[in-house]
Amino acid sequence: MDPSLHQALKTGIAPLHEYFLQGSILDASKEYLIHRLRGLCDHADSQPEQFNDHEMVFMLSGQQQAPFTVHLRHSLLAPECWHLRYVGVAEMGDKTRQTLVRTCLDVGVSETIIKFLNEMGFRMEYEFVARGIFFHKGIMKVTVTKMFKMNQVNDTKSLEPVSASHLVEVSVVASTSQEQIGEDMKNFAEQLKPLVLLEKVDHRKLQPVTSQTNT
Amino acid sequence: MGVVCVYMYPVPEGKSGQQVVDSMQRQLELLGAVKTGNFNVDCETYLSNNPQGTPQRSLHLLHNSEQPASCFSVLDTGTTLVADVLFEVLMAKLTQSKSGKDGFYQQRKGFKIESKGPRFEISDFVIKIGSVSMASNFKGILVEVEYCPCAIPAECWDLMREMMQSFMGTVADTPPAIVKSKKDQFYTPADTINQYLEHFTNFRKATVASQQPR
Amino acid sequence: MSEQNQTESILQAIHLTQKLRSSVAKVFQNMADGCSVEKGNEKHILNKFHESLLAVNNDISDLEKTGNMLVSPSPVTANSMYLSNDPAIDKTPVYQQILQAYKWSNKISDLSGLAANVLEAQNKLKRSQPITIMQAKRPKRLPPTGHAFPQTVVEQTLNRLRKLPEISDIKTTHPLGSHAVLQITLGSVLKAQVALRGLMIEWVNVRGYTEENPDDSKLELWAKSRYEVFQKVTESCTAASLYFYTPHNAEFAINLFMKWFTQYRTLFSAKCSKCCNHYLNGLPPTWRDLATYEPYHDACRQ
Repeated sequence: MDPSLHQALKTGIAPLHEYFLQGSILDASKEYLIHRLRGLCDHADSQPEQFNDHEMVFMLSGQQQAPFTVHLRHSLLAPECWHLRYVGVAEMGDKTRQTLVRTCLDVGVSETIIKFLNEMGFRMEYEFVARGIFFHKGIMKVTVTKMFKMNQVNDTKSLEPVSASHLVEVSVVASTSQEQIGEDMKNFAEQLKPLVLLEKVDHRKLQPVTSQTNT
Repeated sequence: MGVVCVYMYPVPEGKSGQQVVDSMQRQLELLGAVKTGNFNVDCETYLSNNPQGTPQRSLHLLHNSEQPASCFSVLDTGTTLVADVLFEVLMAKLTQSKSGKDGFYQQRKGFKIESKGPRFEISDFVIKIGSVSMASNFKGILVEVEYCPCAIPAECWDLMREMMQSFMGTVADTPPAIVKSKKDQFYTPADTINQYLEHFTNFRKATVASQQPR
Repeated sequence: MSEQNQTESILQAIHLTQKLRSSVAKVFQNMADGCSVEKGNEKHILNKFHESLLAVNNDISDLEKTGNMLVSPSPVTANSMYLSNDPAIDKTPVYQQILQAYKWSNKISDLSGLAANVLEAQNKLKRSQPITIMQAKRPKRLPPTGHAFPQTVVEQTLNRLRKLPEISDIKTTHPLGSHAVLQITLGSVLKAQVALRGLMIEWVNVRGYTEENPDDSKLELWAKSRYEVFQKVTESCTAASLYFYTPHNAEFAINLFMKWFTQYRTLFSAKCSKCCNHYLNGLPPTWRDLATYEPYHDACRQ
């Protein structure tokens, strides 16, 4: 690796850790949450940003090695935007840690990426469409997302909602040595309390359920 | 981003690479060129440790100091990916060997090749004279000329040819193959990288060929 | 206590409240009406006042009594106490409305300040007109008409110009009301911003096809091109717009200018008519002759 890049990773210029909390809200109560978020987050005077992304999950598996997964997001609103993301396993940590933490790597890529990944040996595992609204407050990112199943491979038109609720996620991407971010996030989550409970969700416990919805 | 042509400039026998670079630099300065720093294009190669049955892939990872926030990856199938420089970290994760097991890819040691040297500007032209070295052995000279205001090769090729011939002579008689194939399309930074990769591959082949007789 | 009884006492309480209100009203009515007090008659008035106050007092004590009889209405339904905590407040877009109101009040104070300035300037009493004796003696000149074209005429002229084969696109915007600003794209060679005043050319700025606007949604009239070629072309265009300028026949002028301007379609591929080369001093031929449209290098022009 390039020594200057190595340096950047070490000093935290290139952030590699994502701190996050997750929760969900029923579709019927979404409006309440949106209004509250608009009041709490930055740029309350402009319309919140919408997104509509097609996410594909690619996996590289070998015989000896543990499988390696990457998430590819393609914006359906701005079709020239492709975004590749690697996320590690979410760590619960102990009681003192306020949020879930996982390593992550965000890379903007060109539109040749699908062909490139396939030729590198990756295979697509599953795909879905995520549609929603995005807020930010300082370095905190808040997304309210509706997940859709795709009825046919690579067809982003015929969709079916996965559930009757929205996924709410608060996340911050930062370098490792910034544990106090968790405190800020917890405080923010506290303000949404009666509407959404944002918590550390243990993904290992969810595993059997998610694998069912994926297939 | 304009149109870029990269040429291999032959080093005459009995002359060192540095001498050729120096004389070309003097010539450019006479033409009114101003030195505006240095440049660097490098290339590393990775090979896949694929399970049996699938062909082994090689992946070239290139950087160009002109686009410092990007890295370019080219597979041997010709597919080119332009990505943020962080893509390299992803590549590092793929090459990592965990608990004694090999990663998905491995870096080909001693195969790093780069072209670096001074960068000049004449009006809207950018000229770069690069000395190519592999494992700190000098391999040859690559000259890159870019005409920034225009992005369509067919429009400005004649203008570029006249400019290039004024200091390179007959080396620049015909456009490089990649430029030729994209005459009426928009030229992109990925095309420049592919030109460099082609030259790098040639240099590497020449090295292997010259080593074999021994 | 029976239901019936309860209702009755509530009714009574309401009735008593009404009574109290009327007696209080009477007191104030009396006081408000006022009266002329005759000597010796003060006693009478005071008595009358005293009486009405007593009536108020009685009414109050009656009401209190019935009030005490009333027990708080039997079993309170559990949820009704939350009626006042209706979270619907979250549903009302308070934040946006407050912000909007704040913005408006700011705007109003700004604009009223401006309006005050304008009005002050206009309302100055001018007691004398500046006398212009010289004007009468000069031969009368026609005022220029180039700026006074309605938008429809401008649009028609532009539609005619759009048909020129070299021009890929003319985008019109009206950033400050009536006058148009054009964004002309010539092949995939260059983009020019032309500010019009009516049909008169006020300002020309040329940038490369690939040079991005810092903000694509906004018009960028003033930013100069990064490249020397387009800076030279901008200079030539400014010179040409002056050369073709005819104050009384602006439509003719803009046609001539555009015809000349489209010659830049071959900016990078044309040879200089004098030295028969493309390249000179780092530049292609950046000048086009105003009459013959032939390309020349800046240095080969004379």
